[in-house]
Amino acid sequence: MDLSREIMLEILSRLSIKSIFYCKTVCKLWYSLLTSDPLFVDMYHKRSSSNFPSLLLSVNGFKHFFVELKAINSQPLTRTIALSPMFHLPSPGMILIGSCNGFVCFLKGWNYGLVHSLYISNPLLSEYYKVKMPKREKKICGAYAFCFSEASGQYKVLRLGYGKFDGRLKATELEVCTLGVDEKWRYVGEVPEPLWRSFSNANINGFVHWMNSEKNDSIYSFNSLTEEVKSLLAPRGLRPPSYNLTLAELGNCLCLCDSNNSEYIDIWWMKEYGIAESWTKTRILKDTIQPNIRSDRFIPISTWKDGEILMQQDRGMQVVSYNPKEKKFTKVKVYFGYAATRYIPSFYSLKTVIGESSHVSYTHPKIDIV
Amino acid sequence: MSSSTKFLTLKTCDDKKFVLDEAIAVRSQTIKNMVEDDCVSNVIPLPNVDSKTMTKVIEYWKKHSEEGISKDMLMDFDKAFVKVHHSILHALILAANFLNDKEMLDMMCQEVVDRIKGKTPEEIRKEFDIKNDFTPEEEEEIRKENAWAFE
Repeated sequence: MDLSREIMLEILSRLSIKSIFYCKTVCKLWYSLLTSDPLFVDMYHKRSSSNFPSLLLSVNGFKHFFVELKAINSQPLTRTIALSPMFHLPSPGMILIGSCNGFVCFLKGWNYGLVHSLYISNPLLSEYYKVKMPKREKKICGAYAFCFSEASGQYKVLRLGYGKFDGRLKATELEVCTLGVDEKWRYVGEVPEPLWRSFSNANINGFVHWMNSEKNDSIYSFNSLTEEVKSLLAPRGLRPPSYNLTLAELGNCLCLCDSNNSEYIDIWWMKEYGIAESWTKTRILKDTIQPNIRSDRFIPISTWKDGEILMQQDRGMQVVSYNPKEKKFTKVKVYFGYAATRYIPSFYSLKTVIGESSHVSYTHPKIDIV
Repeated sequence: MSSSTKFLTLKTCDDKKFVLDEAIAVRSQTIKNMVEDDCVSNVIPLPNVDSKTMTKVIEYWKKHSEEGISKDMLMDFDKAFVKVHHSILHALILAANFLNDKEMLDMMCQEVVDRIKGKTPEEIRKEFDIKNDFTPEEEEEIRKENAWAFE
């Protein structure tokens, strides 16, 4: 197979993750193309969101699995792959905070506890980086989020520390750490309302979003470029309780899933970002859901295929795909999945984020093939 | 635009000549550029393509230029077309690349992808006659490093 480098990479970059790792062990040429050719990394990145939609599944919050799906028949491509501390992760028992461009942010320990640590990892390269925490910190944290700004090319971790609010300790103090720039946590201000739950997974164009559990009319956003917090108007007339409201990113659009009603699930789409008038509703009647799939709450994960919505059964193991045109659900046979997050695998090294000078660690020693 | 059919003569590296309708031959961006730049004399030399491969390429071009052919028929044709020994597949990829026919190159690359899919490293080597040039120690190390993918 003496094809040019470009053609070989054209071929190899179309493969699934599992096949790519098989190909690494075929011969030296393929090994070097797949492990040290920057063009491969770029080409794979360009395709990865379309190749095989991928998910990270978390069981009990602590165990993580990776699965690639086949869009054609809504089935997993291979068996789910357990992300293990032996190969992929810095340590067992970590909580998934979020993922951007193949980098995954994990929390070790409990954020409400005084001692916890934060890792950024590229599990496919067995690389990880421990984010520096403030020394002798006596502060508990409400929540963490991981975000990326396309405009600045920077990855940031944000967190809400507890501060005095109306005379009581509440999660209100927003702090930011920019990876690879300063290893300091900077206080950027107080959020308008204390946060009760965690940040949502809805990252849209570098904006992190969350809602307050007591109020249904506002969605808060953090702009990872300017570091400003703003509020957006939620769709009108949402009813409490707000724990049945979930924010999601679907096709780069901010969405709000409302499953308060016993007869239907509403997915609201903010068609034009920031414009409250653009909220548009997709209503899914619960009695159109096949009996073998029925659940009270589905949480949208991502869009895929031709506008279908991949959803996760709340507190259940089922992943389903909803076709809004045909108003039909399809089961996706993914196991071990209590919480699914969209994940875009990439082969970019963490060094591209934190710089060559900072220390990237490996879960196992790198080998040298000449 | 002239209504009469123009023909081009293509000459492969083994000195075989192929006379082809220009409208079909310009599926190759390389030939198209030559025609547009008016640097076509009588014969277009294709120094990187042999006649056996060119015969296959022309078969593909003619089928894909047939008038009124249905999508299904083309799909069946393509499916059968790529079912060749890897050495021919290899030659066709090189030809499609040289002739700059993106559609054909894309299809041939996808065929290689499909042949790699679901195969173990040993099966991949066998499929494409690739020599395992790792030392046993290196292979062992790589297997260990990537063991999770082999589960």
